[in-house]
Amino acid sequence: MRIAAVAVVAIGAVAALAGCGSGTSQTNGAESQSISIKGSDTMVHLASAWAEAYNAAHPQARVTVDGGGSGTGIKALTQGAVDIAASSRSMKDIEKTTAEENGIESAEHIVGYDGIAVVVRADNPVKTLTVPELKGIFTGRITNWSALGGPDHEIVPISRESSSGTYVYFKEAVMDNEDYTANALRFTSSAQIINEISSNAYAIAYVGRGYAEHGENIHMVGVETEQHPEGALPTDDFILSNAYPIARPLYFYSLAVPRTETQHFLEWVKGTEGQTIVREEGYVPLPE
Amino acid sequence: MRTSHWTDKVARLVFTAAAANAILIVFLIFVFIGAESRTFMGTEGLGALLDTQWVPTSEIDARYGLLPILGGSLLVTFLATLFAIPFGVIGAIYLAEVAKPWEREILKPFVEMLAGIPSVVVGFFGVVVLGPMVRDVFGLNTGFTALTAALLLALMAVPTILTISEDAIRNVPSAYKQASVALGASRLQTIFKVCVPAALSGIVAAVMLGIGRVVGETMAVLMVAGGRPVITANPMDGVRTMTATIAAEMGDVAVGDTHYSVLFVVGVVLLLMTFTLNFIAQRVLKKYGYHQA
Repeated sequence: MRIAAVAVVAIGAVAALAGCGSGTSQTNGAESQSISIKGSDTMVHLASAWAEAYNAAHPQARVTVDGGGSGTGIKALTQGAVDIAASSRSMKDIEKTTAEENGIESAEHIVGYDGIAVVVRADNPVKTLTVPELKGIFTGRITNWSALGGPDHEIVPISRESSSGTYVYFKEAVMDNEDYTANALRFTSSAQIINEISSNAYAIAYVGRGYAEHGENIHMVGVETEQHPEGALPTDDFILSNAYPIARPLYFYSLAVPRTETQHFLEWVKGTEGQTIVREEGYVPLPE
Repeated sequence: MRTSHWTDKVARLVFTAAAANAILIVFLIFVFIGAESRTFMGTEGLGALLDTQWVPTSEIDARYGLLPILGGSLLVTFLATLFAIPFGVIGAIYLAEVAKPWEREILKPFVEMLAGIPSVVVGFFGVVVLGPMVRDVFGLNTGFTALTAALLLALMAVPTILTISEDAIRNVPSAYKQASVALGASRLQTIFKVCVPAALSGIVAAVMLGIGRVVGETMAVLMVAGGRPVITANPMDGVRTMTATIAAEMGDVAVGDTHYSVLFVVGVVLLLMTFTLNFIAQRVLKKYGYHQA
């Protein structure tokens, strides 16, 4: 009994001391070869894939990736807390001002492109839509497929949840920032959207191009534009030439004069090896 | 004996501290969640919560009405309770009064196993099997409805209701049953006129705890309820619950923002609901305990 009690006290004391010790030692253990990336949740998979490949090829390097959203990443960069901010949108004016106030000059790097595909089940007779029609569907002003040349049946619009970068981008690029209809189903993952689209004849949704390409029984809706009234699809060429209207660049922001190892990493990302990974992840690589 | 005196005291202290942890943690959760929700109370105020729309991410006109998501939670909970009570209570009666010992030995572990299935796995089953089934059976636009979510939640609440109800029915003194049978009542009459009424408070407490589990359940609901913030009483409509709202939206809100803060307000409402349910259940159970003594 006595021994047990003493042991309990002793373990407690040791644990307390150890706790204090590690707290102080960690603050001054910065490694010179570490590169920290923070930001866009859309880009987390891509950035992690880069980090993994880069770390494997450069044993002394240690690239770490953290999500939290584009805004969070840019904020961290302008406070000097990270080396690279990953962002699926360009930096806002307010953010540039804040950076200047903090005495930080940033540089923008486009590291790839992302096309958002509009998807329906393969047997849906509606093969192309205009941007205003898409807006009508997702804001809830168009509710029946017959208005779009389809069958007389209610449309089932499906959106991502609001924490998704794609949700925000689609709202901005297609809906002029108007709100999604409350009647739209909200799913937490692109995989779940693909699963539902492939089995639901009346559903329509938007997903990153990579997901649409891998789905079975799925049809990508062509987006009608002035240049392409027959409907443009999110192909590499159309995304790079801006012919496909729902596509965006993916950004890395760094300091205007980054540390040498950060500079190396950025060059590697924009080079052949980095861009091969962009393709593998379903995004569009930079033009040669 | 004298020498072991102080060790007893130390041990007692350690054990008391371990037990008191629970109280401290509950208290701290209330304090921190309350503190984070203060921003919202300051900027938008309680009145904004009575809005009929939940559009916290709007660039044009952000609305923070709790009614759609509160309504969603209530609809799903009500339906799930409706489905779970018959299965839970009748199952409990069967296990306690009718089942042969060997039947009980097979059934009980399965019921307990059902309670142990992770909710994300139940949700996965909902997405792949139950959702499409609901859609096809009822001829709906989509299988992601309040009904689908309620069926899954009922599945998760049944073990809670069943095991606690069974204990309550078993605890009915055998003298009651013997008296009933001696008066010429049949087995069915004895069960429904004597055993169930005598165990009723225990059964009520079991149902309350079951409801508590349903209200707080997040993952399965997030996956199959549809996520639509609409006010509806139709089980065939997709709905958004409070738990799913917090889980889905917490990911990308800016810390300190109104949207961030309102999610904590939702948390407070949810906490108060489960707290009240548990409190009532404990009260009923306690009363029932004295009754037996």
